[in-house]
Amino acid sequence: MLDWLKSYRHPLKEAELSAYLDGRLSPDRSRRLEEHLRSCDPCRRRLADLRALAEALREMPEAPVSRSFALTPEQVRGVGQVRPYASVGRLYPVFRNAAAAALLLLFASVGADIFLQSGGGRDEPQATMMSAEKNVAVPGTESGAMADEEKGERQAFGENEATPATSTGGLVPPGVPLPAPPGTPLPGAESTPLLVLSPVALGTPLPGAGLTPLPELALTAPETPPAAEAARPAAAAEEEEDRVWLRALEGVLAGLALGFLAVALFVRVRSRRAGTPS
Amino acid sequence: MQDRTADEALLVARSKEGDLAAFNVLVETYQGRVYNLCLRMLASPEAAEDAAQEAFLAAYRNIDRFWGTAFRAWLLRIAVNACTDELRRRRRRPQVSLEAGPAAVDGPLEPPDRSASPEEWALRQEVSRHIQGGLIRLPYDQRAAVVLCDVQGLSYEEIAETLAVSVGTVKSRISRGRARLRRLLLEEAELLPGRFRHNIDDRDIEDGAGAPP
Repeated sequence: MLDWLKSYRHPLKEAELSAYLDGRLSPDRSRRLEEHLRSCDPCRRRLADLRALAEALREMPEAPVSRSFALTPEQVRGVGQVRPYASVGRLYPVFRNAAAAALLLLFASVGADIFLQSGGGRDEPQATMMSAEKNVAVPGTESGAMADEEKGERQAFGENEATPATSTGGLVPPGVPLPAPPGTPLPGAESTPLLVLSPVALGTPLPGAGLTPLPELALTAPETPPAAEAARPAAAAEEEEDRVWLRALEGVLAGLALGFLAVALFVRVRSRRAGTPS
Repeated sequence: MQDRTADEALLVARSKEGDLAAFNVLVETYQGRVYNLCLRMLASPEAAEDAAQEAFLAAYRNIDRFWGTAFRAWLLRIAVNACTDELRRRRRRPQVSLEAGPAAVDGPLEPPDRSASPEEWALRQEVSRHIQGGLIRLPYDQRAAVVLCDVQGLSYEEIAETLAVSVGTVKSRISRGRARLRRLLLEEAELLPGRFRHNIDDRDIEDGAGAPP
């Protein structure tokens, strides 16, 4: 309390007096200020000054309007011309939201696409495997091939998002082991030196080949079944068709999103230009 | 009051559809306030007329962008901006000085109150001229805050909305503006009528006291 009073000695904070004058000081601070004013003549006179000033400002005679400021049609003719754009400006949120909706749908379909490739693809080989089991009875090989295939798929998708056709072309039918020629490095085995790889791929493991990390290739490569095309199940074909549709949908949605966004921006820019900045 | 707000909302809605007559009703309602704000900000009747006209034109052009309920604050904001533009324009073409001094606002003023004597009226006129001379020497931000608060009688909140600043900023601009205005008026206190001179002997206390430079 005493500290506060000390700080309240001259120079007095002008802001406190001004706020007090407008009744904008908290009751507590008002009471303290009044306490101080009781014992401080200069502050009291200063407050009286401010009060007189505010009163004089309030009493400044209002100048009559010398003329009417009503707008004439001539004055707003230019406004009338740009008015369509100004009202089109109200459509901006519509287009913006449409673009957002298209983008959401696009994400959803991309999500579905990815799901079909990974999750959906996993269901499928089980079915195909049952039918293809007689031909290819090496489950380990299957899953290894599948893993590689998935990797390849994702890369293709990531790189060629805008051109679904190319990535569809790159699709390998599920359940079919990669027809990798011996010696061709698979995505998973890229870092393995070719010199070490080739003898393994040929199926002649060297006694000292323990240094070579066992690549799936050693198992996969010799398994390249020539009868893969024949074993391709109808379900896979259907799914591929689904994916083609999905890619087409993605393309359309991406186009819509971009289109809506472009229109929204156009509308906004035009409506901005229509009015003067205020 | 509610009726007025409802009418105003209707007029604004019709103005948005391009109804110039509806907008002109709003102009008639607010032109006195807008013109006087401009006059106090610019201290020149011609400049104030130009600024007020510009303000109404800008308001009509931009009425599409007004979505709130505080039309008056929105309009006054446009008027304050129009004053800024007018000031800038006149500084570029300095043949019309806005710093012409206290006598600049000498337009025909309202007839005196019936209650006031002619002497009292003359006194008020003189005080008003001095105050206008002080107002125009305030920094622009402080001038706008003081005019909106003390001359136009707006609340701190409405001023904050009009100037697009916080209430705290409004408070500080008003207090600094008043303090500076008081000092300015005291500097020429000899010219002032009685009630501003009553404590001229305090000048040593308050100068540079609380207000930041």
